[in-house]
Amino acid sequence: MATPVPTAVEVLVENVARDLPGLWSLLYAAELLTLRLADGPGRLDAGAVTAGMALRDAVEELEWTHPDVGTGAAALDLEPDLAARDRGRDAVERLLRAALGIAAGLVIDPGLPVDDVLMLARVVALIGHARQQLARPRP
Amino acid sequence: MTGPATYGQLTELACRQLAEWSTRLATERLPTGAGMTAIGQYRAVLAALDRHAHQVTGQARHPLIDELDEPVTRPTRALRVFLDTLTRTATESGIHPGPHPEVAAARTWNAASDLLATHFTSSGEPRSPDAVHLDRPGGQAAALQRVAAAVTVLQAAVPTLRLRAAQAGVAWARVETLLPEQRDLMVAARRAAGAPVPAGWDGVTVARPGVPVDGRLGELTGRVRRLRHWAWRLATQPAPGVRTLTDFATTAVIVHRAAADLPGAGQPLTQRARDAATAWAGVRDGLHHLRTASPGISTVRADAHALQHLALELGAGIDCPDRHAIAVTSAVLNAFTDIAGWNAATVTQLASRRGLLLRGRYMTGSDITDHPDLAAAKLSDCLAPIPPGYLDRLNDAYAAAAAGRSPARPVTVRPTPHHTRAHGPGRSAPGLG
Repeated sequence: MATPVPTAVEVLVENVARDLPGLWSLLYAAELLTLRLADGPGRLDAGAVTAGMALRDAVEELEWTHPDVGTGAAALDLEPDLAARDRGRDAVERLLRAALGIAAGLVIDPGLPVDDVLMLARVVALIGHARQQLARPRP
Repeated sequence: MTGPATYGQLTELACRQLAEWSTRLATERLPTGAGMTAIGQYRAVLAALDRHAHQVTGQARHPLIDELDEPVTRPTRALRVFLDTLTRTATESGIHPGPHPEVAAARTWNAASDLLATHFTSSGEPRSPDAVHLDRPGGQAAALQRVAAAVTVLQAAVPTLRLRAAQAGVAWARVETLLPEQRDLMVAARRAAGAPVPAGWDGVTVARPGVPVDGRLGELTGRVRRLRHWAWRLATQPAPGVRTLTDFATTAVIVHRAAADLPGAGQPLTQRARDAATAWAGVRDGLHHLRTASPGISTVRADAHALQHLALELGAGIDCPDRHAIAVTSAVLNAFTDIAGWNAATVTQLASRRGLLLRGRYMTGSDITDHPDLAAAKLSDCLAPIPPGYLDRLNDAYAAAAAGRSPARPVTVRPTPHHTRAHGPGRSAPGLG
């Protein structure tokens, strides 16, 4: 039985740990979902394409600092309903808001190494960029 | 802090404060009317970082440092040039330095500058035994790594700052003037940081062919030529990063999709572009899960980004397509045929040196059947050299991309249910083979 994307996203957001692997899970799911939205038929969706690239960079920032961050972490590759792309975008936005919440909590943690803090600040900027791109009107 | 503050403590604190400032910008709206204050804070941090970079490299002490062309001073100079450019842009666009709104990060960076300044007299003579450490180019480059990281964070926050300032009531035209949109800034900042570009590669950026700027089509042709050149070079590099291959594939998808959208291109070109886009998307998905020990090349990234934006603009119909546009498009698609061939060679070489790694969850049952080590990797979901079957599928996808036909089979499988409990409609999870 297939789970609808918004439900799967909700389950992920509510159960994900508020740490770096949790952040990785959210960004990974958001990146792939954005990619699938951009790959759908019809005119090229510039906003989704650019957002997908920003999210790819964000995942890489995490993996570059912590190569094993994804090991064993939940990795969702969701297939959006291309007939209702706005719902897919809403799901991405839900993932990104949750990711921002986790990152904002981690950045102010004085126990986190400063290199991680700087990496998180770059990740946050990339998430912000992706959200702006997704908010652009679609062709 | 107990005892006198050290340089390390101060710069670490400054980085944390900057990260907090930029994160708050991304997560919370500014109060109405606080837009100009936030822009002023950005300028204050920029000025503090600029001052600090000058303090570290000691322009007053070594006016000739810019003439030293040693590997160790190259990133230093790149960072200084980058900061100078940013500062000049900010001043020209009307954000004047000082008096600045209070912001913790700027204050701490300035404190770190003041700390360094206590070790030298106004004429640059050492005043302490530690001054000698601060004066070595190698030590300076190390200190500037952190400055460069901070500059990257600051510049990465600019798009968010633009949005927040506008939300807080600064007129959009004013935001555009004060903080002009700058593409590829992350790339530029990374390059300024001098890392993580492997040694020996940085000189190449200087020797690259220039990009003509006479209109979008001219730039498109120039960028594609450079990407093609890079694809060729990559096939002979000892340790290329998979990220660069992904950049090629992502760009190819966008360029081919845009070409397929081009009205008036004729059925054969449209169909070829559409099929190649599907094939390249398969390549991209296959590369997506691969990892290498080396990072991507920032120059390729910059060209790829520029090309993607150009393709999106052309695809969105900003330029009215004529025969010239269609001829250029055709040439671009031909270039990507070459790129597919060289990229496939790069992948094969990397795999033959066991330099191409795949996470266990993406290996299929048949991939691991005759390889106990890969089976172990699949069970523990760790990185292992790419299975031969996976490599074959990836090479097939490259061949399809080069030929402009749809690929016969996907490169990747969806992760097993052990790792994903939710699947989209119509998808069943492949079992553990």
